[in-house]
Amino acid sequence: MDEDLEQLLSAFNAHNVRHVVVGGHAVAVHAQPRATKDLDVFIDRSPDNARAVYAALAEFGAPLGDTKPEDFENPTSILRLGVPPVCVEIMQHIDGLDFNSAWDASSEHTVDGFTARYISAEHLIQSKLAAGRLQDLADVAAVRQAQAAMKIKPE
Amino acid sequence: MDKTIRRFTDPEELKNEEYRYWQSVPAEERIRATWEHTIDCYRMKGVEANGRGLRTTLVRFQRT
Repeated sequence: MDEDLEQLLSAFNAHNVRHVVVGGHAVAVHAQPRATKDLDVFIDRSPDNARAVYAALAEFGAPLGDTKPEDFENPTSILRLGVPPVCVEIMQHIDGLDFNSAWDASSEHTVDGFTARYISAEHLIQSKLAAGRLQDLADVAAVRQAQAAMKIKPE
Repeated sequence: MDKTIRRFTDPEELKNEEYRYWQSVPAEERIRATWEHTIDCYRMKGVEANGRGLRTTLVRFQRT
């Protein structure tokens, strides 16, 4: 993993930011790896967590400019840091899914010493269907086929 | 390395075998492979990964 990204995720964990990984990295958990342009992160937009996100980003050294802690409470705003392939998108809202449900059903994984929670397969499918782009629908098909493949015994 | 040769007559079953393989390895390995695959794909396009952008580039989008 990229060193700067490790530092950013460390800052999230140090500030107890409640976040769930969604997108391509979650597809790897529930199907198989594929290339992705960014790391998509769904955050709890409660005031306390919004402040924690802001503090973590400030400590990391993100170019926050006129960004305020309250911006991380805004469901219509998305913040993108970095440039692909080392890029993080922070989202306060996902269509058809509330954060607490996503958090409760998520699973924890540790990669290269960094622990994060990943969205469940069912919530990933739900969010991808709500987004509805071609890549989202391909991801839904991949997760469903992976689930089906695990139920079929090879000859 | 598994040197078993398996014959597939159904492309769907071939794909199922891929999924079974990836689901048989730890999730952490699949996540790590996502990073490696992503970095390699961008490198093939002539783009080197540069995490410094996390400290220099910020864009805020507004959902419509």
